[in-house]
Amino acid sequence: MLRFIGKRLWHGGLTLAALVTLTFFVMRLAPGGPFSRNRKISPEVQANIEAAFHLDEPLWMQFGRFVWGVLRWDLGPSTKHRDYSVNDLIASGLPYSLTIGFWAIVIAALVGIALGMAGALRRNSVPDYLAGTVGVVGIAVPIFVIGPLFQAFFSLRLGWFPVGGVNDGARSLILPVIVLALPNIAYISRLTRTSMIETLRENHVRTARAKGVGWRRVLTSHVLTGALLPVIAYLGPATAAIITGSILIETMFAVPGIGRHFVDAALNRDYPLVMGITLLYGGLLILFNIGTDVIRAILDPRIRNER
Amino acid sequence: MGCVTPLTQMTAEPLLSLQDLTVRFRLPQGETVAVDGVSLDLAPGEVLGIVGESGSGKSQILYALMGLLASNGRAGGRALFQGQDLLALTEAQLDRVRGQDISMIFQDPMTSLNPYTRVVDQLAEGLIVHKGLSRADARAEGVRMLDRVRIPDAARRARLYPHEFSGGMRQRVMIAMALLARPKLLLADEPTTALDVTIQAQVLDLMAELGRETGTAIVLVTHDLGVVARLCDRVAVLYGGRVMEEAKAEALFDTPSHPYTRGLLAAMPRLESPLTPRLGTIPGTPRSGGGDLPGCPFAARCTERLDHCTTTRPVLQSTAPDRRSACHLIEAAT
Amino acid sequence: MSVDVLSRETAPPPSASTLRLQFRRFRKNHLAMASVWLLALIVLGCFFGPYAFPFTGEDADFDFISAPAHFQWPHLFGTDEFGRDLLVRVLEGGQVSLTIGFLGALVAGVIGVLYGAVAGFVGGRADGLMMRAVEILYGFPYVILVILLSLLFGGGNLALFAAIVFTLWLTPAVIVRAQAQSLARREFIEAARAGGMTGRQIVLEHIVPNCMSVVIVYGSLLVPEVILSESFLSFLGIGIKEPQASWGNLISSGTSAMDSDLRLLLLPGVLLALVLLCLNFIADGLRDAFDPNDR
Repeated sequence: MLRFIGKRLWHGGLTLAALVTLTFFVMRLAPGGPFSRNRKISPEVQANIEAAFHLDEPLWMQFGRFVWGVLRWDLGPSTKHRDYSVNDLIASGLPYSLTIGFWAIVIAALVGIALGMAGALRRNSVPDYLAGTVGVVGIAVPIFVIGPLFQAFFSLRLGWFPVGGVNDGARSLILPVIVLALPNIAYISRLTRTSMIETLRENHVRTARAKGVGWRRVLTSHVLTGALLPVIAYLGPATAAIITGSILIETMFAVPGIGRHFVDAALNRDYPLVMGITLLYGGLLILFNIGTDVIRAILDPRIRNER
Repeated sequence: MGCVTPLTQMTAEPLLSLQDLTVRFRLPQGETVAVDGVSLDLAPGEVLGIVGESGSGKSQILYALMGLLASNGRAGGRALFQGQDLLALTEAQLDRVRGQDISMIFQDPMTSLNPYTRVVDQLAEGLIVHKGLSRADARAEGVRMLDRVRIPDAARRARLYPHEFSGGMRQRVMIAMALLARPKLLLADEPTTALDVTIQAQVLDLMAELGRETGTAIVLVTHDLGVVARLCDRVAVLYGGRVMEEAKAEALFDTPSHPYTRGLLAAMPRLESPLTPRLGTIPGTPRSGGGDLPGCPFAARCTERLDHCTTTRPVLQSTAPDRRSACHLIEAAT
Repeated sequence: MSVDVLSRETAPPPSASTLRLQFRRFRKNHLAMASVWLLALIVLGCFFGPYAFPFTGEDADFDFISAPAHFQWPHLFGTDEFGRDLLVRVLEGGQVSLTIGFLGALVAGVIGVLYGAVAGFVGGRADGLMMRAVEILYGFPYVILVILLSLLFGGGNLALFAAIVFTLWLTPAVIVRAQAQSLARREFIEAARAGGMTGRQIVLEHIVPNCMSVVIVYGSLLVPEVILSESFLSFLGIGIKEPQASWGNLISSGTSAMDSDLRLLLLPGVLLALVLLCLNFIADGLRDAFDPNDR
């Protein structure tokens, strides 16, 4: 098992290194720079600023500087928000993003699995149709359509929640969490339903029923593991989906999280901030993927054996 | 049905008595009859073979008894096990019989064990639930049983997962699991079809031997007449969901009376028979399920068909002691 | 005679007739067929609808600024704050979104199929390397990749297209590779090799055609994904830029006016949702018709 985790970590590190390197050079090769838009600045001043950020150095030296910075846990100052370091910006945005992302994934998993299981056990019942409807809507209507509609209805019309911002405490995070969870609820409930139906048809479940150990026990110790394995496997990709979604959500609901920072930073060529957030997102995603693999390996001896 | 004439002149009351058992399935195209009024008796400790081509409904009889029919299936008639009608039991009542008094072995050992649970825990589960054994005792019992089905190094192997076993070993695990509770009745659904020919005999002998030791009666469903000849005391030949002929095993093989049975036996290679250029075949394709037929289900393929075979249903009746047959030919002869 | 036998051996399971059979099965799926028709209607509407109007989506009508939807000629659904006709803009935006969607899925599909087929057929170390590359790309957060790439290619429609294609060819590659791997072990491939076909011929004439069912099923899932990516990026202001319309940037500008007028958000939003819905039902239908394991 330790070897299994070690190998995954090694692959993950490799992936992260590739991601960061690629991001670094793509960012630099993209047309434009952090200060090219400010036409008012005189060439000398611009040169001074660029020198201050080491942008005048050759690329490989800048890359080396960046890597050295990562190793020292210091990502340098932001080129856009001049007085803040990237570490500060991430530290200020991360709590919002994490809170929203965490609750969205928890709600998506709980509601999605519950709906999917109810649908699989009582096919063509009310919960099944409910799950089907949520599934169709959640998959077909993108969050940047649902989000504004929810804002228009729940915030503007009913006044239950603020339209955006984070000044209203937990209340201002409810809508973003729900909107972010919706497509994942849809996906997870569909996934749970099909895998549950498949598992219920499996021969070993029939064996368990033939043993006469009771329906409840058949469900908990013979159906659940197999039915949930694909759902657990989805948790890695779900993290990616949550990251993608949070960028939209934070833009729509004016949440000062790192997702919004990222888009701004990319558009403004704020190199250090882009690198910092890429590193964070990449690391999170890889950790979740490894966690998912480990859980699956614990549950399924066949995965454990193939290593 | 008035035609139920059990042939058993056994002293004891039958362990299992099927009375006009039917199994129907609802399908998008309409209802189909898989088992069509089967009546059979089984004495304690007896080994009964049910033979038929695929689609003859033979496996569905077992599933009906165990309450394991697919959700669109429905069983009718009666299936008295020790005087109790299995078909009338609720799921909870059935759970007190299943795995305790009646066990079942399935066709495909590769998929019939839970891949996520250690073999020993799957063995122990039934004992814990039914007999209230402690986990440790149940496991010990399970290892003992693995040893008895001749799994080498049972104590170590018991801690492995099913995918670490070969097909033959898995089927032996299934047998161990089925016999662990010392059931009165063992239902075996083509237990060796998925196995290597070399292993088939081992597994069958093991099953029969352990069955004898525990005094367990066995219903063995198969399409393999060789298996029947090896193990069974008595044989029922099924076609189109109906019993065509029922007899003691030797009698059936020596003097098959029903045209279908004769066709089956002609299609079976035998050691003692002279080298014939080719084995016999039964013309046509097997009839599976189907709606209500007025005549004999085999009539369409029968080479000795009489005029009224397609219009009147032949009745299963005694033709000799210990022998029943459903054929107009035999009726005409007697 | 022996030549005849060999050629029969090399011929893969007749793909034309199975395909036809599978499409016949698909046509029996009412939901999927209804989706095909509705989608066709929307596509035709987007591409030919604007010609029915005496102006384009970028023409401003200063007599009607922010006109509400009164269903009267010529501004059936009203205009935006610049006096541009909303319906025509949405239809023209549809042209962009749909073109990118189908073309992007096609290109990503072709790249993925070829990559996967080669990797699966060649096997060994090359396969290991090729798949490691895919695995690493898979580990990337999708948004970051697509945003960075569209910046790299300098913004604009083509950059957007390239970025989306570059991020979406991975899934078809993985699926086709698995299929190709199992095919490469089959007898008719061996026979083809024995018959002197080159690796290139085998990949193009045997591996790729035999992966077609899988490709069609997953390709149909790619289309909504590409459309979603395009509108997602345009919504963020990275993709298609004003004054050119796409569903993404129309929804984005509808969002900013939602407190006064939901119409600007609803029209492109509903159309986008309908298209995604149809594509999903079609993909489901194709999977049911093509994938025997699922039945």
